[in-house]
This record gives sequence, C-alpha cells and structure tokens, in this order.
Amino acid sequence: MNLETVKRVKKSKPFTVIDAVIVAVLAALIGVISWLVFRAPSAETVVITENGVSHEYSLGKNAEIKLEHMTVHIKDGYVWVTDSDCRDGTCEHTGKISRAGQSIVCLPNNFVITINGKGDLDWELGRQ
Amino acid sequence: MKKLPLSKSVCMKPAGAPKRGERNDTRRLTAIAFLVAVALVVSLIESALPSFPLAPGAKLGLSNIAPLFALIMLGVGDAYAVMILKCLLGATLGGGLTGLMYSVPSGLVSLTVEIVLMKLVFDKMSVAGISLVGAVAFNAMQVLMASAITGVDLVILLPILMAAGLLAGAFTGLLTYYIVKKLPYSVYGSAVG
Repeated sequence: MNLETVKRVKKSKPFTVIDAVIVAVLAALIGVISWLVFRAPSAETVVITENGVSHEYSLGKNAEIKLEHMTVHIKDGYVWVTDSDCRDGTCEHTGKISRAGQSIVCLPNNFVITINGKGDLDWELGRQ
Repeated sequence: MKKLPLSKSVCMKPAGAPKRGERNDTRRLTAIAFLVAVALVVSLIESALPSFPLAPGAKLGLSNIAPLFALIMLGVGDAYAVMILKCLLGATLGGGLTGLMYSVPSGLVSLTVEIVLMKLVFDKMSVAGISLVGAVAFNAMQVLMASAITGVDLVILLPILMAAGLLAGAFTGLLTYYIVKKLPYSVYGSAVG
C-alpha cells in the first residue's frame, strides 16, 4: 500500500464503466427490496377463527374486538391479544404480529388469528 | 520499509535514540490521530445539521472520508484503527453509547467491503465506486443491527437508506479521490516516512 496506492489513486479516473454497472446492479437491488417491502401492506386481512367459525377484519382499520375468552386488538397494522382467560396465556405471550403469514394460536379455546395477504414478504425474506 | 504493528512499536520499544522504523511509526500515529480528529469534528458539525425528512438518520457521512483516506494513504490495519477510533470517540463525544452497537459493526463491514474491492478491483473500479458500495453496505448493516437490537421490524427503512448510502457514498468517495489527487506527494511523504 502506502505511496504505491496513492500513486495508483492519483492516476485513476474519477468514475469508470464498472462503477456504472455496479450502480445499476445496486439500483436494481434497491428497487427489488423496496418492491418487496412496500407492496406487502396492501389488502392484508386479519382472520379470526373461533371453533371453526371465521371472521375477517382489515389490518389497516383499528379495532378492539371483545370475545368470550379474550380481547383482540388491531392497531396501526399490529394485532395482539389481551385479557385471555386461559391459564397458559400463549396467545398473549405471542405478542404483536404484523406480517402476512404470522398467527396467534390458543389451543384450549380452539382459537386462531392469522394475517392473510397477497405479499408473502416473510417467506421471501426467509422468515416465518 | 517494513511496517511494524502499532501496538508493538508504541509499547515495547525501549527509550533511546529514534530508529528509522520508530520515526515512521510516529508519523503514522500522527496521521491516524489527525484523520480521527478531522473525522470527529466533521461528524460533530454534521450531526448538528437537520437530517433529511425522508430518511431518518440519513447523513452525508463526510467523516467516512477518514478511514477511506487512511486505507489509501497508510494501509489496511491503520484504516481499521481510524474507523474504530472514530466510532468509539464519536460515541463518547456525541453522546449515546448505544450508537456504538450500530456504528462499529456497520463500520467494520463497510470498511472490509472497501478493502476487498480495493485489493481486487481497484483501477477497474474507481475510489468513488468502492466508496458507494461501502456506504450501501454500511447503511444496510445499520438497519439490520437496529432491527435485531430493538426487535422492531425496520426493513421498511432498508431501501431508503441503501439509496441514501449510494448517493452519499459516491459523493464522499469522489471527494476522497480529489483530495488524494490534489494533495502533493510531499504530504504523503511526510506521513509515511
């Protein structure tokens, strides 16, 4: 390194053809990532299934749904459960879910909440 | 002239008449200290400016010129030294030690990317090109670290900050290139002995 590198930098050009290629590749990558990230929230629904009966709610619309065994909150794109009367409280411990494919399950009450959506972002990013 | 690792030369050399290697190391130390100091001042000034409305936390990152400059002028080890010192002292002075958890891994990843590119494809790729790839890596790593540490899903910031990194990295890289180009050889000579 040292002076040789300085010499090489001094002789080099401010921009090269390879730079342009790299910039194009990075711009495409950014485009793909933003497409994945931003299309996800469109038309996502929260499906609450209790004893085999399903009700659908919009993830985009804030709501507080009081059910027999618990309260389901939908707020700012997040879904979570409070006031569960079952003793293991798994549904409450699941915390807040917000992405298509995530779910909150309560086995004792035969109760499932899932978020459905067209954009399976979680699958594409290798998460569940 | 063979370079000695900094720590060895600073801690283990006996006192006495300066040898050639020692003087070289003193000059390198001075250059590192100077670059870190400049980086700190620049980043302090920059953090006082208002940030861009679209991308929270996005900065021009002018202080990133320092590690890149150290990489060109001094070498790989010294560039890492400048980067780590810049992060540590920056966090101490600028407040917020939590920032270290983001800035140190991001800085190391981006500098490593830049070093690999510098070794493998420099000349074919310009300093500006290498700098912008490093800046994109820096910002991407920062978003991932922030997501991992806070537990909040911040991927939505990823494309915005990567695009910001692309522009800022190209700008700082170009600036570094012109600084290296315009400075006379005597400056480097006095720094590397």
